[in-house]
Amino acid sequence: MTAEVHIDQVRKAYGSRLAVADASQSLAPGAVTCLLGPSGCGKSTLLRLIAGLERLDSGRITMGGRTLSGAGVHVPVERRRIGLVFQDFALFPHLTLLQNVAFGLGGLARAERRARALELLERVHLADRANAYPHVLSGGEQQRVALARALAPRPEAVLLDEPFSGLDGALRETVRRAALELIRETGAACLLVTHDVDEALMAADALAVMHQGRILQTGAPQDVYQRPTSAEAARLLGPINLIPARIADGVAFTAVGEFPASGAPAGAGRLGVRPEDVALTTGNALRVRSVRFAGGRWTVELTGPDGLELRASVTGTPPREGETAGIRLDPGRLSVFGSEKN
Amino acid sequence: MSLPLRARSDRRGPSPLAWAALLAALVAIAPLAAAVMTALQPGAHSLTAPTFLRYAGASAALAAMVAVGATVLGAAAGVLVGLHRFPGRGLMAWLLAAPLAAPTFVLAYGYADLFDVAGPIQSSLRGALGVSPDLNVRSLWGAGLILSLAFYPYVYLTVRAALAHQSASTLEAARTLGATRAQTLRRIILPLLRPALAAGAALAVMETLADYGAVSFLGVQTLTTGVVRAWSVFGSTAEAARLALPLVGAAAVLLWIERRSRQGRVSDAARAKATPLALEPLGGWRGLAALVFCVGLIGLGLALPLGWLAHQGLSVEPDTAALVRAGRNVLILAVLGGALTLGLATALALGGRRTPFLTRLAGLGYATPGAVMAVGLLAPAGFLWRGVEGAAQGLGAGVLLLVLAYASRLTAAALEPIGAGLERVTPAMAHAARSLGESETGAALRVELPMARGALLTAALLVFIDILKELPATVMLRPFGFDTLAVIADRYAKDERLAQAAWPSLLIVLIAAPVVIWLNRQVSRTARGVTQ
Amino acid sequence: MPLARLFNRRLTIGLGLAAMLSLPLAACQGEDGKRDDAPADAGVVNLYTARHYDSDLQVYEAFTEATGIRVRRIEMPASEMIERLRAEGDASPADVIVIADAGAMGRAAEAGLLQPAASDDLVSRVPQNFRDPQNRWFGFTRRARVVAYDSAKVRPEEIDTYEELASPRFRGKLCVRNSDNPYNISLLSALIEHWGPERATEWARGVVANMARPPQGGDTDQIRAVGAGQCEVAITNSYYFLRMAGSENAADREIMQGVRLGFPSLDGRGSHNNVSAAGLAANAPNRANAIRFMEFLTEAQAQGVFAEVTNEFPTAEGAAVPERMRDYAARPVDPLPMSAYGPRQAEAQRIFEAVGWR
Repeated sequence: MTAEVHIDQVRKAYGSRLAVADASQSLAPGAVTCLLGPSGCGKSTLLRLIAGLERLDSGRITMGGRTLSGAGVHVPVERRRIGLVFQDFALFPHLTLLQNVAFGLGGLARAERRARALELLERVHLADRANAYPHVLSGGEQQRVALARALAPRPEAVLLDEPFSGLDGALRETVRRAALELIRETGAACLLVTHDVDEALMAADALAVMHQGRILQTGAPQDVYQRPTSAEAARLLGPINLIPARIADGVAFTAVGEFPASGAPAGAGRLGVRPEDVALTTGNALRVRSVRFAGGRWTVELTGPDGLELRASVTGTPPREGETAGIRLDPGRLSVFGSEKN
Repeated sequence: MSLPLRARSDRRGPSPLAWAALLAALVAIAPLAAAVMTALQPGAHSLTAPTFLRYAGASAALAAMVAVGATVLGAAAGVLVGLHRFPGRGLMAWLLAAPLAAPTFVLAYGYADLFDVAGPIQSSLRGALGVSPDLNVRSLWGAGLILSLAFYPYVYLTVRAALAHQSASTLEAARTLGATRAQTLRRIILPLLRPALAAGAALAVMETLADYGAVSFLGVQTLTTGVVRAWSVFGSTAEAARLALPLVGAAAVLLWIERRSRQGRVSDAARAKATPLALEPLGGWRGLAALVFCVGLIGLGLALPLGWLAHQGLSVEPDTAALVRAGRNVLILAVLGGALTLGLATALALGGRRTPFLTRLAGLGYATPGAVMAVGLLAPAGFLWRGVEGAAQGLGAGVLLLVLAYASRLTAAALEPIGAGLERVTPAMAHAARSLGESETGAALRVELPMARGALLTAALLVFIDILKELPATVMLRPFGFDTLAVIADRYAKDERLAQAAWPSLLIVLIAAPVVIWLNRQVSRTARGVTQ
Repeated sequence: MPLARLFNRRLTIGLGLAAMLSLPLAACQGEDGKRDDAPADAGVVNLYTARHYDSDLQVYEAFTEATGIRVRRIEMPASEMIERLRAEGDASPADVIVIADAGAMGRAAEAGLLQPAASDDLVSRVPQNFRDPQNRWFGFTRRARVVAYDSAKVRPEEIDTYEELASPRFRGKLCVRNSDNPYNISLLSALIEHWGPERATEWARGVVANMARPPQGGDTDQIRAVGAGQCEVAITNSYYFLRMAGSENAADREIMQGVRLGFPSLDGRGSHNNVSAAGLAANAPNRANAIRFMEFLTEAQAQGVFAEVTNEFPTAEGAAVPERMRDYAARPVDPLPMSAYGPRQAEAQRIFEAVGWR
């Protein structure tokens, strides 16, 4: 029932525009892999390639050891046993909820089909509205039906394309938690495509960050967040300070001090640190340019020598604008990147 | 439960839908292709250049007159009903499309007789004034007027549909920026309606160029006359087909215009959820004037010529048995032809999505002039007649041939609403169906078509009406003893017995009118945002 | 997947309805209500006709009554018919072809769509100038292409030749239909045959100069225009005048007061006439029945019906003529064989175009 999905060196171009550039990724059964990236980064294309809605140019996609795409093979969408949930849910407006959920159960006998569909509706707490039509449902309810429909044929993998972006606020979080829990229970491999960083960080068992058609980094969400391997990956997950540095003998020399950088190659580089990992001290290396309240924390912008600009996110009493300040960086939260040209 | 994953070669053949689309396109394009092939055959040039220019000039003038006439009348009616509230508006909104129920030749019969020098109008004027003004509708002007009255509903309907997709906020913004009502109309509404006007006018002009019955009855000599003349007097089908090529070229241009203006509409449909337009009340004399305009339009487009024909018809005893038989025949043809045309158009709409060229090519069939169609239909028909034992004899084969002929003429007409209906179904729907195990064809049949069923019904009814009114193909290809109402009307009219022609003519209108009104209601309902 | 699931219920009902409506087709009901699937040799004649008169239906009925042979027919204009026959080729079911113009009939013969009909009856009954020299077609009714005139303004001797119609006497006073009309084409064809193309062109030019209005409408409309005073003289076929003169419509009778029928003569030999002709189709599957049918058209009963109902003159020697048209039918007829019209058609059309007769 469960199978691992492997995406291996997949490439897809539209004309001269490279949409997916040699992307590789594995989707583990029973786990939610989040594919995060800004719009246009190729994440939806990758999802469509896995689903079989697009043909890849090169590379290979396998599921449970069987090739779905690649090497002259293209298993049609309908034979992949991969469930899809769309951003706008794409519920069939001319069918009832029960008929929607039963749509993919063509191989079963009538009674079984009904039973299975009802079971799924039960799971999403909509069994009592089995004979209603989609347009009378709220957004959250529609989302649940879409999920039930995708899960009904017991797919080996489920792909969700921004499935929660149409929902707002509190509802969104509840719906997401319930949905992902349900998917994890089925043991199917799950790919959740989103551009929402918070969602990706909260929902993912594994996180893949995509930018300009490439998968930059994959790993546990907190690892990717705290130890980004590239400035691009780091930026995609939230604001980060990049401080020019000269690295020699495992030490990074910067305008604001020296920091341990063991293992980093010698030469020009950059030191990455998230604003919340910048602590303010008394000192006169930097000047406070602005202070803004950001709900529980203060965002402090600092300027330093050589046009250096830094941002700190601090609790407690903030400094006043125009004052001078020093900083202290937690060595455990520092990342060292190559210089911008790399 | 687990199905084996069957890997297929990457080089798949076309899907069944693509094959069906190809078949449909072949049926639709066969007559035109045959006509073009005929045109390429050597044959004496029997028409002199000045004569050809005269025909072409008349065709162009007629097309221009109808383009202007139908656009002005249709736009005025559409803007009045679509944006204003006045007494009788609800009824007018329904009835304004009704002239579509009347074949143009029926309007021509009525008007020609009404305004004849010995007809009631000129006679009474002569009696009253002693002189008889020259009110001759058997002229280019008359034909332009009659066809404008017959075809303004195309513009009216496209304008209504376009207004339905406009958001109130656009107009409100204009008003808050200081524009008067008249300025808003001129600077905002009309520019917004331009694609709809172009599309409606293109349809009206295509119908004008394709017209067979009315223009020849009115004795206006257009390229179509030239085609018939080259054919019947000079006996040269090649010459006839050559004459037809400019008409086909014009049709291609018009189709291109229509398609381009429809591209604009897609984005309109995307914001269909915007606030619908509020109706501006027209009080006092303005309201009355609006009502008078609408009543006048319906009166001139339908009631007057039909009323006069009915009056004439009452003076003679109808051949009831023949009329009933013809009515039954045309209903059979319309239902079978409608079903086949709908099937082919649907196949083309679904299967031709990846090959827009195919669809565009098939679209030319719609605008092929009736006389050209007649030339072109005979070649493929000849294959059937000569190739299939008994095909030229049998009733069934004859009906099949007619139904195929209608399909080739009307597939493009049906394609229009079906394509629009399918455009409203998002690709995600089909993708969802396929991810749930349906093939491309299955997804189309189980999801896309049911979702577009309103559009399918609209298309079927449009075709139904067109078959009721169809003349040239029916005249030429029908089997023994299989007259339709239009054929009987045409026969009596050719025999210069208008009173007898009135009966079948009125029957056509009676059958078509409820269908037209229903279609118009569909447009109004879409206008109010009701989808199903 | 079961096929039924492909369709929703409504579509299924629609298809069912279509099937039901097509049931009458399966029963193969023909025009006359009898079954069409009887073997051909049990008595069918397949008729392609360009005529559209009620008299013909009566004649078909009488024929079936007299012979037991059923008449299956398709009516369509001559040019369409000729093209259809060409397309059908050897497979054509047509036995008899009827066209209401000797010129168009000549074109059908020329196109090889007819064959000679060996019938002594036909040959002896139909005068030579009303039939094809090879006996491929026979005229069975005759109509004169003459003039209706306003008796208050025109004296009969002013319209006793065709030349006079082109004379300045009628400048702006003549009504005639357009040159698409086969009767006009055959008239000019005959004039070309008699006078040569130059004189015929002059004549056509004179007629155009005399037109009271651009050509429009049918012959009936021309007669009405005379009645309404728009023109003094109109070129028309005789039977239209006779039909209107005997009309039950009060308005028609009113307008016909003072309108008379005049018979111009061609070089003193008689007026221009045309025929409705029946020809034997080249591949007639029911040849014997076809000849029987053509003979029947020239027999007394049919000739009587055509005269009574459609006001056409008989062509058969010795056929009875109703009292009211006896005088007209007796007017001399141009003896030129009508088979001469066909070959001149294209030339006539070119002359019309050259002189601006629309």
